[in-house]
Amino acid sequence: MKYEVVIGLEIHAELSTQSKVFCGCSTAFGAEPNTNVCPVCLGMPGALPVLNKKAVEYIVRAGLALNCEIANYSKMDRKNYFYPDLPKAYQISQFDLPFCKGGYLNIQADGKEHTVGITRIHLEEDAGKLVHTPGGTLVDYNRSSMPLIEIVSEPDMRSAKQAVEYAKAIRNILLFAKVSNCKMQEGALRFDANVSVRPFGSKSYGTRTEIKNLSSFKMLQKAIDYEYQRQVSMIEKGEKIRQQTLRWNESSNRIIALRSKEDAHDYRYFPDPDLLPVILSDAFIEDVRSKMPQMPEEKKKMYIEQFQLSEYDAEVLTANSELCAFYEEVLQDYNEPKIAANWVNVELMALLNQSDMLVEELPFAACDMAQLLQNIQSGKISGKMGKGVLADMFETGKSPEEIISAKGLSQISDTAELEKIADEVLANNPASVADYRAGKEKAIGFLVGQVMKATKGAANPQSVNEILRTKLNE
Amino acid sequence: MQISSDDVKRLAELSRLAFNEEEIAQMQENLVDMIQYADRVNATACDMQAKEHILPLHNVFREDVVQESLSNDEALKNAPESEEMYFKVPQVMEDE
Ligand SMILES: [Zn+2]
Repeated sequence: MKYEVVIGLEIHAELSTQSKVFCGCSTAFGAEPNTNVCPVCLGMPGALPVLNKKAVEYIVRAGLALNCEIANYSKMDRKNYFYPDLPKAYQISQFDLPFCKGGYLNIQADGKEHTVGITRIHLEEDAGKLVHTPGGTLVDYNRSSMPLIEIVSEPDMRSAKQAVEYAKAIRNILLFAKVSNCKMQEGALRFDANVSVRPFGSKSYGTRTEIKNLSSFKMLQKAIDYEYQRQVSMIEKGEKIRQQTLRWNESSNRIIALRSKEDAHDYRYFPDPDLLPVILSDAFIEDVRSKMPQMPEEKKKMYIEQFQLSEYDAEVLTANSELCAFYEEVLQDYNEPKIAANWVNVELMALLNQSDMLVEELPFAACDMAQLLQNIQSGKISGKMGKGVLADMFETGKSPEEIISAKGLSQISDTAELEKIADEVLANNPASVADYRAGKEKAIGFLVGQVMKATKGAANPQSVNEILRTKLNE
Repeated sequence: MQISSDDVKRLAELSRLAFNEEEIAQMQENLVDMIQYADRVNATACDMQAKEHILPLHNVFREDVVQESLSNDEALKNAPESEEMYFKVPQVMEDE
């Protein structure tokens, strides 16, 4: 029998506020342990949390970006469980009245467009970080009470690829909306995957398991693939799938079950009496909407209509907020949108893909790229040379000017000099000249090649061609 | 509503409390009392929605401004155990 996988994702994203969600401690990453802490985020008795207004604005913005309905009335609840990363023994979260509900996101995967439903987005506080040592567990509460949104999807994905594309699309939207920096290496974006399988064509769902805390797209893909195989082989052996919480172990590339006691979802939610309800007026929601940064769909439309980019170029640029930002920065110093898009999407992307690097890791700035394109535009160097210069920039981080002058690159556009070389080439190759004059058009290719060789490739082939033709037709 | 001794055991487990049989019986009685009291409150006519807060207030926010945190020494001052700059707790095992 063939089995289909059914996936729903819970995506946690840290909001990029300056201060934590319920206290004034800094959210800066990488501080020394337990230095961004106060009585509120340490859960000291009597400390009173107060909601960060910016966090509310950001979750509303995220909700609007993901086509959600924004609640006029919402409240905070306590989710109770014991674990040392939670100093109060409860996490402030939202239970029945989250800020956002009922959204969706369209994604491209497996060659088709899919719509993934978004059940809800709620606001909560992050937990601290544990360091396990042989002598005991060490706790750092710097991350405690950092603002987090949890985006819960419907079980609408039918392949690991779709789940990854959905997660990437969410990341892209959050980056465009400027609500989270989404730095995966800093844990600012984490995924929990709910996975079940069922025979193809079946309408009901199988028993699902939850894989917690996946911190990269690769891990997400591997964990879902592994869990799909595991569930299918269990069913084929006639075993029953148990509803449980699992963890992906990256070093052993396999799934580990968390202790079943931890796994009991009995969080005994109740309203947090320390925090007051939030009532958002339609005016407030409209205000947030009116100040939304431009979203990928909108940008794509603008690129096609105003910049005359191809659908493909516009799609590639807007599917990656860093690439898009880089592109727009290039345009600030080099206002040729089509040419710039081609260089960014083709030449730059090729270099990035070859070395598996991200745009934000580039060793040079967008203005350097603009400078390179200006040099090509002005004819100082050829497009072919430009590709080499770009590769050098990528390798060394040096500016294009530096590379061009160090390598003595420059296209000979001085016609007088080219004519001199052309004359020599014609004098030295009488046979080809005779061929051309006898009607063998192709002979000119050889002559152009000779001039290019004499100039070590520094001439513009088109100009050489024109000069030779003029001379041969004299 | 009734509370069984199993309910008490389950709650004790979730709350990380250890009770002997005698204490469980005692807790069971206390919890039944509490729930009956809550039932009486619930039976009273009241306009208030369950979702509403006890205080007639809403939208109490703070601006997104960083304020000074505690020093590491202050933060760890009352910790039963600490190591380097961390709180130290008995080892928790993550895996089965
Ligand atoms: Zn704090």
